[in-house]
Amino acid sequence: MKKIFGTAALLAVLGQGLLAGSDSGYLSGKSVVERFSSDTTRYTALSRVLDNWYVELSVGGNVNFSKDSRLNHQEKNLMPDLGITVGKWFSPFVGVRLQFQGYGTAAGSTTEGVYLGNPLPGGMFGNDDPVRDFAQIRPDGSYTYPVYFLNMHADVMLSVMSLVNRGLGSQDRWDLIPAIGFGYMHVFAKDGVPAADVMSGSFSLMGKYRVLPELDVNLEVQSILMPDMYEGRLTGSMLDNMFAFKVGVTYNINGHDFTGKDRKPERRVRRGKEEAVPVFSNDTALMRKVDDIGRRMEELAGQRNVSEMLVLKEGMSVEELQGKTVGTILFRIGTAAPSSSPEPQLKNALALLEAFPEAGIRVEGYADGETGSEETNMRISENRVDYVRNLLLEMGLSEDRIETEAFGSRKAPYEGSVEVQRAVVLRIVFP
Amino acid sequence: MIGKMKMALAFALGAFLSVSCSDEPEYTRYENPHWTVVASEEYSESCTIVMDLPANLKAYQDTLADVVGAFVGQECRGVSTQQDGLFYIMVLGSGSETGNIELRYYNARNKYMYRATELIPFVINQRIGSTDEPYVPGFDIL
Repeated sequence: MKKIFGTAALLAVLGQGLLAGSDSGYLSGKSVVERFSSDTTRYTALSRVLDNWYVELSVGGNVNFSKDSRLNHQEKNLMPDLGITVGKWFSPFVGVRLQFQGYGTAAGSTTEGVYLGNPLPGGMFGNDDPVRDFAQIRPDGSYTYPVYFLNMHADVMLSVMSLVNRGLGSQDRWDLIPAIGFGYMHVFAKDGVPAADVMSGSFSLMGKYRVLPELDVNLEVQSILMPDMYEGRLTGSMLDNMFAFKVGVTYNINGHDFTGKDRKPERRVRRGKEEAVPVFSNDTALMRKVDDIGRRMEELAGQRNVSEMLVLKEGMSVEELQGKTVGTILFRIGTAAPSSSPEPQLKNALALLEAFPEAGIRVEGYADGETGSEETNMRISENRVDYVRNLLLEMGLSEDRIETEAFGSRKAPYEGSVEVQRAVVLRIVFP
Repeated sequence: MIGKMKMALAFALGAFLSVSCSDEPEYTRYENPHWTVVASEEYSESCTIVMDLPANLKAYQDTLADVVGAFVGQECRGVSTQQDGLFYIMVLGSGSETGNIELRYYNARNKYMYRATELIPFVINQRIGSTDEPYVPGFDIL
């Protein structure tokens, strides 16, 4: 009874600590809610190969339901159960895991039965159980003995909440995960129990709470089926059953990402044998915006008679980079106000310049030719150039690395809609 | 992160310890009682008992060291000999014996002492059980 209260007290303390809205040290003053993205989109895309992996550590207990295990003394029938799991979610809905589970289970026996530890000629087994030399025999002739095992099973998992909500959102905190699978159990020879290798079946139900994008706490109940003889005693039944319950902690490597977008976290431009600083940031939100712009740039690059766009690839030389576009900032009609934040484009350009200290940036301003006079368009394009130039200076770029040129409506940066004519184009230039 | 992981590990350890095996109740153990029959001229009559152990205890029988004693009241009137796994007991009594026989069984392997649940009336020259059909009593632990 003391142990039950002690465990409950530990659980209460742990729960309070994990679910606290604020914390000292680790969260650095940020609440748990703030650690979750504000993105309300529900994602359903298949996972990339290296994404959505997790590792889990779980601990709890198990109860054996093999024949005569009910004779076990009430407290002695509960044995520790440990689990180490590696898994991957292929989509928000389906995943697989490989779980290594074990330590021990409490088997019960009487003088009824035949035992693998007492082999007889002709492939038969006798009634003399070697476990009796190690176990405490009760006055009625029954005894309990530990069976030490390692159960390795592969399961398929379903995310009920993702199915119900039709996708995984970054604000989702709870989940219910049934899992089913098969595995291989090795029973270790110890104290009269013979070694055994048997197949096992696993059925489990897990409740999960997402404390942080990378950290979950779980409560799992599990039923494991083994052949009758797994514990060394043949009783004539087909299957034996073990029921396990565990609490666990899951670490989601790199959190969850089912956006389906190619992250490209490390586009590197190599110059000779030197590696440049990665052009793209590892900030997830920033990279999503950069990816959007990159995709639009690639779409534009496929159009005819468009200024050659720079699609960064490994191994590009200085000559290949000369004059290439490293960013495009679009503006609202008739203004020098950008239609979206220019920060990703400018950060990208600055990162590239940091890799090439001798390079500079040319800021080219444009205006569409369908509205306003040539004089007005020239002034607008000059204003746009000044706007971007000032931003670059504020972001730390030295003035001698900035060239500017305004084209007004005399020259179009791209073919296509008028929106893409209202632009400032950034090009990398080398002396 | 470190703080929360420590708490999680502390809980896991607590859960692990809480389900660890605990000891079973202690059972009374006995040394070999070395029963001897009370010699008396008064006990000129006898009956015999051929006894076997029940199935749940048979597996623990020590064919050399196990012993069954026959008691009338607190007097030992007979001590067994074993042959081919059966216990043969000659129980002494008087011609006017009215007592009941209580069988006690000592298991040497587990050092348990048992008492038969049934009392047997002493009947002069009675044979209780046989080699082919031994008497198998139920036992309670002492």
